[in-house]
Order: sequence, then structure tokens, then C-alpha cells
Amino acid sequence: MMLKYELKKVMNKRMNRVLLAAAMLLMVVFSIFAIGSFQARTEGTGGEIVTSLTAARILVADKNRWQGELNPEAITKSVESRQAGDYQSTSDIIDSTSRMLVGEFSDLDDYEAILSADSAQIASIYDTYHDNLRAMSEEYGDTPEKQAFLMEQYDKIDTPFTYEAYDSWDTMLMYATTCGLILIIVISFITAGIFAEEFQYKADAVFFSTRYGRSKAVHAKIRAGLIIATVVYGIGIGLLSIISFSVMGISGASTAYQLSQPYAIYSVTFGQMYAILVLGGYVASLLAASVSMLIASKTKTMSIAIVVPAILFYVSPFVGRALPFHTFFSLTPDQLTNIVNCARIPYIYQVGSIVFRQIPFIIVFYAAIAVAFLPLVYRNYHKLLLK
Amino acid sequence: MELSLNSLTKQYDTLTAVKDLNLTMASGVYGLLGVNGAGKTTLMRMICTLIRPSRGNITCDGKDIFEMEGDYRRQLGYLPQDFGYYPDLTVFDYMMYIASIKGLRPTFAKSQTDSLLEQVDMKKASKMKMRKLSGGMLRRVGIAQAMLNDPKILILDEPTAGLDPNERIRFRNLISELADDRLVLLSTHIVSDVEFIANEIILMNKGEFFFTGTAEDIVSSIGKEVWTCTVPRQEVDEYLKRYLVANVKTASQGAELRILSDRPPVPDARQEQATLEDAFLFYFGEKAGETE
Repeated sequence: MMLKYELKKVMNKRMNRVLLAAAMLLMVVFSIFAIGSFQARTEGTGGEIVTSLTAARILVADKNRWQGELNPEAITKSVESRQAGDYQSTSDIIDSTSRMLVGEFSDLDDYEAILSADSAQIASIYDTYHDNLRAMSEEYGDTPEKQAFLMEQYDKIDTPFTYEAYDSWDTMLMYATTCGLILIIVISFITAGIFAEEFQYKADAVFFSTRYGRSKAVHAKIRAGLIIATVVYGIGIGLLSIISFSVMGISGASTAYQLSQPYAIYSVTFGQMYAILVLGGYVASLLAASVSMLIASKTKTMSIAIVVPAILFYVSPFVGRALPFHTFFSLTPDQLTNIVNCARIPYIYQVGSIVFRQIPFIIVFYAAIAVAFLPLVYRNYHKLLLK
Repeated sequence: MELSLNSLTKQYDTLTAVKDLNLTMASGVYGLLGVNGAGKTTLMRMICTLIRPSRGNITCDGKDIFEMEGDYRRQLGYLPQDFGYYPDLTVFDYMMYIASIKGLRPTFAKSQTDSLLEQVDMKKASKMKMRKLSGGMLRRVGIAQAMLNDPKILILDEPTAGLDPNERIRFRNLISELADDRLVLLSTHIVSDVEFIANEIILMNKGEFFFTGTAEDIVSSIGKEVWTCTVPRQEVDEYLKRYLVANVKTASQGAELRILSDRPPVPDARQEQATLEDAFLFYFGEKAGETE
């Protein structure tokens, strides 16, 4: 009953309702932006450019002409098609195979390197790719343990790749990142209010003089905060995903992420990468809720409780870029909402003989931090005395 | 059930808000009477475990209330002077929330809420948002929430503050009804709030209790007679300086004064029955000094 009414307090608050409605509206708007970001050239109508709701489907259908194993024959045909003027359907394959061939791009010509490759180079493209992976592991692995670790990760990449157009996933990785940031601020605001409102409304005296005001009622508040973070994030990202994917389709869900980022150290599909991004955002939401509740329970006000998560997730990326401590800033909480970039750069760390990757570490570490803050929230309220 | 204050002291830096209080209270209505800043609220907040004493302790049946924690608070009902509430909840939801944190089971909480809202005449307003309630209605909800757990100790801090005279009388009667078989500690600076319903009145000033007894005890303790007399209006200021004046009323012949004095202030002064209000003035009023 306590939890039910705690949630009712949150949901009945006018400001919270307005914020939630605005956040959900933004999710719809961002879905429309994501869907509207596509443009496709139709084949049947003489190359007319389409930007309507159907553009994504047209583009994906066109690209899916190449659906299937991306073996040297398929690559050769794709190159021929490109040379014959088909830019739209071949763009992904030309881009990814060029990267596989030359490693990290160093000049503009590299982007289309596959077009100037001879048949022997195309026939041995996966051998070249594996050589490049080895070179990458030597470049980014500054210790033998790191090199071995990177090679171990790269060995997990299944080749030859199977191609399926992944445009909707690629687009959604970007939009879900932005939406996650919006939801985090909304969650911070609402969860800070759960602990600050007793003082804001001067309801503290009655609250703390009740039987469970310093025990179960505090637990109920914490549970309410976690439920709010889960539900708001879940509904927000769910809304964005359902609207966007239902229009754009889910082609490419099981395509290897390496087709977009051949040197990523995460051997996952686009669908899995999206799930990791959503999970990172969820952990960020829990952390934001936890930090907000901790600060609100200590300071008894909402303002600082909202500002701190905003600094963690919004300001820290800019500071990280400006300062030289890249290793440190690659582990700050804002990285949870920056999964796409984390996947692009092979950040690995070594403690003793243990080598680990950035994404699993930040997800587990910050989930643990979020949970570790909760007893402190309880303690703050349990021991709180009034003036 | 016995609540004892033992050498209870609360110090804020250089200010001693509550000074070495000793008192044992059992069932009954205790009126804590004192001017603003006397330390009443600090004392009540300590009794409600909201602030810790600097020295001494409060025991409930011999156990320290801060060590009893929830076991003590389950017996407690509190209406603070500055009664805060959640403006976006309805009256019913507010009551149900407070019932839940008081540990009442849902079915009992509902029946208790219904019955208390009926008792404080708020049943019809139970679906209203708290933000829409008038001051009087809020106070009634305040007392209802304090009663939810049928407390053995009911602490009411200035419960009639801000109420109009009708509401005050109504509220006083309500407290009287609710006072059966429990300890009610009611703080106020309005004498009439406690005059008729308190079994015992505690006078508090500058953090100290300086008199405890019945209304009659307090009245008889002042050791002064009460007189009324009519004086020319231009002489009122002079009387205010020379005597402790309980009341000034404009009359056709001048001004009628109610004066506390050992002897008649004027030869034709009429002797009156002393009231608690006179005693309050005697103990708390600004005394300019009586001169011959």
C-alpha cells in the first residue's frame, strides 16, 4: 500500500505529469525525425527521390537485393553494380569492404578502396581483413595481455559476413542515444522529488513521526524511484523503438555490427548492439535516479539533485574532450549514453593480468554504483533529524 | 502509559531552547501554554523524535523513545504547527498514504479513514485535492491523520492557529472528544484553547516550565486581585504604565480597564473573578511595574 501511494504521489504531481507528457511527446517527435531522416531513390519511377514514411522501406528493399553471404562473388557483383552507377544499394557493402581492405581509413580514396581492388584482392579480402585485425590488436594493445585479449575478441568475429540492410538499426542507435539523455533528466527530476517533497511541502514532520517514516516508508520511496526510472525509461525507449521500427522495419537485426564498424571489438549483431545501447541507457537512468535520490535525501532540495546528474551526463563529455585524461574520461558515467562511440573505438584496460573492455565494465560498474548508493539514501533518511 | 521528560535540554549554539525539563505525563489533556518562542515546538518535536535532545532524555514507560524507534512512533499521533501536506493528493489518498506509513493494514486504514473523515466532517470533501482545502479544512484533515493509528500519545502543536473563532471552538470540542484514554499534549498561546479542556496546564517560558497545575491552581497562584474601573480616556496610557492591564474597553464615560493589582487602582474599582487569561497576562505580559 505504501508503494502504491508513493507512486500515486509522484504521478499526481502536476509538474511530473507535464514533464512525462512532454518526454513522451518528444519520443514521438524523435521517432518521426528518425523515420523522416531517410531518403531513397526509386527504381521504377525513373530515380525519383522519396523522403516520405516509405523511404526507409524502399531503401532497405533496394539494399536487400544483396542480402546473403558477403563472399568474394557477391562483393565483385556489388562493385560492378556500383561502377555501373548503382550507389544506393551498394553503399554499405562498398564502405565496409573498403574498410576491411585498407584498415582504418586514412584518406578520402580509402572510402572506395574496394572499387580499385583487383580480383585477387577481392578473393582474399577476408584474409586481408584478418591481417588488419591483427594489426589493430598490435596498435591498440600496448601490452602482450592486451594484444592477446584483442585478438581473442577479433577471433569471435564470424566471417564471411552475411549482409542484410541495417539502416533502421544504424539510425536508431543515434536517436536512442539522444532520447536516453532526455529521459535521464526527466527521471532525475522526478526521483529527486520523491525525497525532496517531504521538505518542499513541509510534510516532513508528519512523515518522520510515523511508525515507518524512518524505515519501510523510506524503502518504499527507494522502490518507487527505481520503478519510475525503469518505467519511464522503458516506456520512452519502447515508444521510440516501436514507432520507428514499425515504420522502418527491422531488417538487419541479425547482421554483424562489423559490417558498419569492421574493427569494433564487440562481436554482436545490430539487434544486440541496440539492446546493449538500451541497457547502457537503462543503467544510466538507474544511476541518475540513485544519485538524485541520494543528493535529495541529503540536501533536502531538488535543485542540486537535478544538477549533479545533468553534470554527469551532459557536461562531463565536453570536459572529457577538452582535458587530456582520456582513459579516465572513457570510464565516466556519460559513456553509458555514448555506447555507439564506445563500440567504435577499441577501449580496453588492464589491471594486473586482467584485461577488460569498456562497455561491459561501465555497465556492470555503474549498475553496482547505482545499487551501492541505495543503502546510503536509506541511511540519510533513516537518521535524518529536523531543526 | 507514562511519558517522562528527564532533565530534557535542547541547545542551539548559544540559545537554550529547552532547559532542563522534568515532567511525567499519563493519560489526560495537557495544555502547554506559552508565548511564541517559549520552546513549545522544540519540546514537541523532541517528543515526536524529530529532533534529539542535547541533554537528558524522554522515556515512554521507562524506555528511551529514540531507542524504541518505530515501537514508540506507532503509539504517536502528531499535528505539527506548520502542517504540511501533498497538494496533489486527494484527502482520501492523503489519509491512506499516512495510514500506510503508520503501518495500518489496507482494510483497516480505509475504514479508519472513512470514520475519521466523518468525525471531522470532511467526508464530503474526501475526493477534493488537498491544495483546494481551506485553512480550517486542512486542520481537520491534520487532526484526522494524527488519529489514524488511534494513538496513545497525541501531540497537537498550535492546532487552532489561523482558525476563525467558530472553527476554533469546533476544533476544541473535537479535541475534547478525541481525548479519551490517551495522553494529549496541546500547545498554544491562546488561553481559551486549553482553559476548558486541559486537565493540567503547563506554563512554559524561555525554555522552562515554571508552573504546572490545573486552571484553578494557576489562577489562584497569581496572588493578585482583578479589578475593573472606568477612567478618562486621556489617562489610559498612564494606567497602562502603572498597572498590569488585562483589557481596555471603550465606554461612554471613558475607558473601562481590567487591572491586576493587590489593591483597587481607583476607589470605586469593582473586584472581579480572576480568569486563566488574567493569569496568562500576569505570567507572560509585559509588566511595567505597579507604583503607589
